[in-house]
Amino acid sequence: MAQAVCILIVEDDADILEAMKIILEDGGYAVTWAMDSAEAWQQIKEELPDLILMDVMMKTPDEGFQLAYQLKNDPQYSSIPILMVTSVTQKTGFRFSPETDGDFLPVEGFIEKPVNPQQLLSKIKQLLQKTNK
Amino acid sequence: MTDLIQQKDVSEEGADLLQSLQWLIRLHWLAIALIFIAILFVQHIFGLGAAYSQLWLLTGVILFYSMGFAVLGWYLSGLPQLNQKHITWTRCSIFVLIVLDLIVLTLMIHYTGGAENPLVFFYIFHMTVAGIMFSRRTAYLFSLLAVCLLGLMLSLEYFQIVPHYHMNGFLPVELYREGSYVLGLGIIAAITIMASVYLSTTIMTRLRRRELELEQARQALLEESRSCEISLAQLNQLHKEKSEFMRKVAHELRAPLAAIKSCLQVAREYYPAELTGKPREMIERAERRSDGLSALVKDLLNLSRATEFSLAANFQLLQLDKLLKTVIEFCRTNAQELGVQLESQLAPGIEIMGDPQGIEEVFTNFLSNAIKYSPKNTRVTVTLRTDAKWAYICFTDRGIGIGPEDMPLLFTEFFRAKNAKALHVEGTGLGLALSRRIVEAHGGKISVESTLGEGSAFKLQLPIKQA
Repeated sequence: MAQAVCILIVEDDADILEAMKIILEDGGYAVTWAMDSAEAWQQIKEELPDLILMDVMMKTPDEGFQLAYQLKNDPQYSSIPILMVTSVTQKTGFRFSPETDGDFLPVEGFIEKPVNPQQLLSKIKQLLQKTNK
Repeated sequence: MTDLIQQKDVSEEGADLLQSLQWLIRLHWLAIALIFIAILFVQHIFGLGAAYSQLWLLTGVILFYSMGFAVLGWYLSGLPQLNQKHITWTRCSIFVLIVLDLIVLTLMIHYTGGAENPLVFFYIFHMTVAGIMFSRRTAYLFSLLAVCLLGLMLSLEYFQIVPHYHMNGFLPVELYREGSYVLGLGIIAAITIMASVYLSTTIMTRLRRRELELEQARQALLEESRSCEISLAQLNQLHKEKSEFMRKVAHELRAPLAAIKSCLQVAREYYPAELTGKPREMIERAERRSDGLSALVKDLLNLSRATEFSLAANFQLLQLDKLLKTVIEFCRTNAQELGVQLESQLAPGIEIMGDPQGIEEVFTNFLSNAIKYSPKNTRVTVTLRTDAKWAYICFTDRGIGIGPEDMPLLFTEFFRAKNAKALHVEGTGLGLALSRRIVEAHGGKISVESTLGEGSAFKLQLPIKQA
């Protein structure tokens, strides 16, 4: 049997992280996690994940965006699909629409918080199929 | 009294004085006309004997200085602004005018019979004018001058230092040499003159005190209104801070709430074997309540955001019929589940300038409320029409209605009508408050017509975009 697909969760809220771990492990994925950008870089360098699930607001309101931007501009990592977990639309009131502003940040997908387990799994499945994993 | 005059600003004081001078000059024209007629009557109709040439001369003198002061008054009234110098001129003019009048009056009395002429009581007119226009002290000074002039004339005539002009045909006897009469006349005239000054200055003092009180009251009122303005500004600031605080709190609540919901959902969905019976039920209860809390936080955020809608930063052209159709489609599934029919009559092509998210939120609020509180097999109607200025959107239902006692509180934050609470436990009580804020930020109005148990009509009025 092929090695399980590895997903890196970058999330600073330990409780949400725990919930996501349960959802993803139940979905049959191997899960690693990081609670900030530095930890995330360490994890990525240790083992290249097949997909990154990333929170936008961590220590700073745009830490997730920064990390995603760095990854997408690094040829070594730019192929890793990123799914941004965000509540930025409702939280800040500024209109960040994945449809219209997606070009600005070329990540593979967005999902709204609080995350619905079925939605999360189907979105991940969809992204992985797209990138042939 | 002088304090009062000093309190008023210079130009106001000048205008008052100038008005007095002009009034006095107008009185002079009248007096000259009367003197003119009186002399004509006395000379030609009654044929009384008097020193007519001197009288005509005196009339000419009055006419002359009256014209002089009239020119001065005309010049001063043409000035755009009266300064302190002009005010002094005006004040002196009035003073000189009255002094001249008193001298001329004395001479006139002298030439028309002196002590025998009842004209002596004409001094009262001048005393009244002085009492009105000057301070108490100055007015008494004038009365003293009048008494002295009269006394001087009576004495000079009595001691025959000046000739006496008898008015032939008016009095049969000459009285100017009757010591007791002249003395009596002098004393009575002096008392009358003094008394008239006393009366007029007393009345004026009272009037001025009232005026001062009025002015003070006006100042106090002004100060009060100023402090009210300050309080209002502070209140507005406080309101702003409150809504800012509310938004911060709501933000801070969102993250832990999301975590709670995620944990509860995972517990319920991923551990079906461990979670059965009562524990599962309790988890489900907790999940329902956290859903309600999420809705509340979302509404709180929207509410504080609606306060800032007036900035109109996100305003864009909105086609109301399209927006309403979207909202109706969005609510249709929910309506079908509840067995409520949705109907609409939407006039096409009505456009407004507005915040798309805000207006959609308002429409969704009204429509989902109408559906939520409608019994099965009833209809909810949405209509859109327009006139020259407004777009009218009406949401009508045959639902539970609103009691008259709940009407005034309907759009207040966290208010929920009793019958609404009884029907649906959930509901934040913020939907209508939020809608009202958004609509008002768009320059619109909301009104409600409702009968308990029969249904409600929520009417929305938004200013249309002028072509």
